[in-house]
Amino acid sequence: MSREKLWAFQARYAPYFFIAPFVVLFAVFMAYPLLRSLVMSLYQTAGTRTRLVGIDNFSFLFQDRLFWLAAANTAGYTIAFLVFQIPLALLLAILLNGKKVVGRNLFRFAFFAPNLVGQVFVAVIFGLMLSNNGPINQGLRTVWSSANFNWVTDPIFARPAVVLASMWLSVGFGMIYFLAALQSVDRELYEAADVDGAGKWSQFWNVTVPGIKPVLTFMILTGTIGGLQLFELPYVLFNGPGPGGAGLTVVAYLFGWVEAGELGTAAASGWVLAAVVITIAILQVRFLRDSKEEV
Amino acid sequence: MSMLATAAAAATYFTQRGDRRADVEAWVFSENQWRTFTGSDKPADYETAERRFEKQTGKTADIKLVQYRALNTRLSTLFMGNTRTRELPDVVAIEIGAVGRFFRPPVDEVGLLPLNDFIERYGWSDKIVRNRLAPWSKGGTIFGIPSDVHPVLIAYNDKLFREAGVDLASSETWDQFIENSKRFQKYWADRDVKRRYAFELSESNATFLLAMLIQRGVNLVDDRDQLFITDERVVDTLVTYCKMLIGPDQIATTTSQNNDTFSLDLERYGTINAVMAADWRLKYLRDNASGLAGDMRVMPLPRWPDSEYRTSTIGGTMIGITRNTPDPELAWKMVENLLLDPQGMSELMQATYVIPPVKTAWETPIVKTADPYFGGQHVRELIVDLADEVPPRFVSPASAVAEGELSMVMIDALAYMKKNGEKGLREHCRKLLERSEASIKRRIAHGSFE
Repeated sequence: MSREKLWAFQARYAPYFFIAPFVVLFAVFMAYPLLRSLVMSLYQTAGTRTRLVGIDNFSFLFQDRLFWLAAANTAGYTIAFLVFQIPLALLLAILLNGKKVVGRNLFRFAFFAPNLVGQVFVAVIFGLMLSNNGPINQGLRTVWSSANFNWVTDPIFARPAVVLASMWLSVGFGMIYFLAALQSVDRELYEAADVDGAGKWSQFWNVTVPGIKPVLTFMILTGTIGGLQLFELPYVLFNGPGPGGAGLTVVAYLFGWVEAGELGTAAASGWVLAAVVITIAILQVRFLRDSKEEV
Repeated sequence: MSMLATAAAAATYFTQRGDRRADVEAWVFSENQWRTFTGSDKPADYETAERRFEKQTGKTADIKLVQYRALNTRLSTLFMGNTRTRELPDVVAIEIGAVGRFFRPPVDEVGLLPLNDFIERYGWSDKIVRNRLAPWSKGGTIFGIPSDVHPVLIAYNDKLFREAGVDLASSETWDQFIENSKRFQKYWADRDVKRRYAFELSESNATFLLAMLIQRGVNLVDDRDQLFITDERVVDTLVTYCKMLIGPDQIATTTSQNNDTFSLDLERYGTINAVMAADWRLKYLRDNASGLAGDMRVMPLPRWPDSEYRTSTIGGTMIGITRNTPDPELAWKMVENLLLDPQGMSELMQATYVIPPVKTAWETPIVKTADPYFGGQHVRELIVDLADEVPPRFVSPASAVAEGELSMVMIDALAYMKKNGEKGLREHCRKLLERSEASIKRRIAHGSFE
């Protein structure tokens, strides 16, 4: 091959070689499994047997009361995370952003540290802490002698137990993001608001919130997706779906079908969840774009 | 590119490793079993099942300890691929909670080898507890040999019951048990001892309720996917269970059921004073509530009016052969070695109270030994007595679904009773069970390949 031809070949094909590693890995580990699972959702499986059932798996899901229980639980947990976790994380960030707080770096680390250990570890710790005679019930009994909250065995208390454990795990994560956002808000805006006679509450709504809006939206987006994909924490905490299915989330429901060897229904559950996540993500990204334009 | 190269290198390494595999490979998930079979903590001259097999057959054996969840996931995946590679073990131990999934395909396509022929040919049907083959069978085809029986007893703090003037072991029926428990609780309540209940029952999962049903001769689903969840005995047992937990007849409270914390409830707090325990649970009791040594006793389960069984069963493990094993006879030799290892069985009984289903193993002197933890009672002798009476328990792919539904019905029934008392409870339970039956039937129909 002449030198010119070699150059021409290289000029034409070099970009393809450069992107080839990504394309190959993406095709093998992402695109193919996704397509395969979509096809699989149209089949039923048992051992080596498969049969095409069309949309039967999807229609079964919408008639299965366990699926609706899982969907209701998942929605409930997601809303609880957003309602409690984000305000709490923001409150902590505001408190720890103050220069007067002694040992604030230590506190920042302490609040963020649970995030480093992961959901499984947190579930194990909370399982012990929330047991009938565990430290939380013992503590409650010092103020109310007959206190006996069956946190992990009573469906009424089981859901708050998941929210409590999840908050402990992830409030610190949100706090770090909010801290970074708070520090990027222009100080001059506060000074200007001060000169205009705005109080603390007014400064918070009119300066802080618009200033951290992109991060706030990001936190809502990741919190929603995280909530919708919740699995390990309740699964380990209750060692299964929990009392009355209180720990049954959509991913746990999906996992149940995988364990039963019915991959088609599992794949169908996965695609329903994916559709919900994608829809919410698109709506939130649109909201984020609008908020950026406003800022 | 480096990731691809790493993946290729790893694949080559594991492929090469696969070639060096032993003639027979077995997977077990229980560390106790694995230690017994391999003698990992025993002297070099200890004759393990592995070594005895090698001596008998001249072939090599390898018994691997595989984590419970990993074992089931890997086995499911290998069965789905109908693999004939050497990745598949020849012999495998499967737990009762996981076996249902392997029975989803039609009988002739289950990934495990039918063992009816081996059992007949080698005279195993007389050697083991016959009822214990039920969980490992589908439509009469046996896919596994049990490695345990797990009869259920009641273990109780005799010292506190005696102090209250109650001989709990005299309770022949559940009604008498409830009356004795109420007397026990009244004694302690009169002395201002708060939160002292006689018995442990769960408000969140149906493990104990299911054990009561099995004792009464009811399986929610049989090995042909026939449903019995609306049987009148289920309604009756559920009502009795609710009354034991709530209302004027309350004799039980729920505990965390975690193996460590239930012992604390029993020993340190005295919240519960009697527990339903399969043989394996007695070990947790002995290890975690050591302060109760000498005070504890065991007794058979009280009887139901319509059933003669004095025991039930909770948990279990089978040993089976994979259908694609190249040499089923050799694999069967391995199964026999694992289950007929006299030294191993004896040690397992000593360490864990778990008795094997092989009746000849019950002749060992350990069975006759007095147990100091249980005040010199011959606990293993009682377990052996009850082992032959264990009612059949069936497992099918629908069992897990049915048990989950029963748990939810139970929680709903308890909530109803908390709100409305006993009035209308029976009818409410019946309605809940009928709704569950419809749900289970829909699931069975959805996944059926028969």
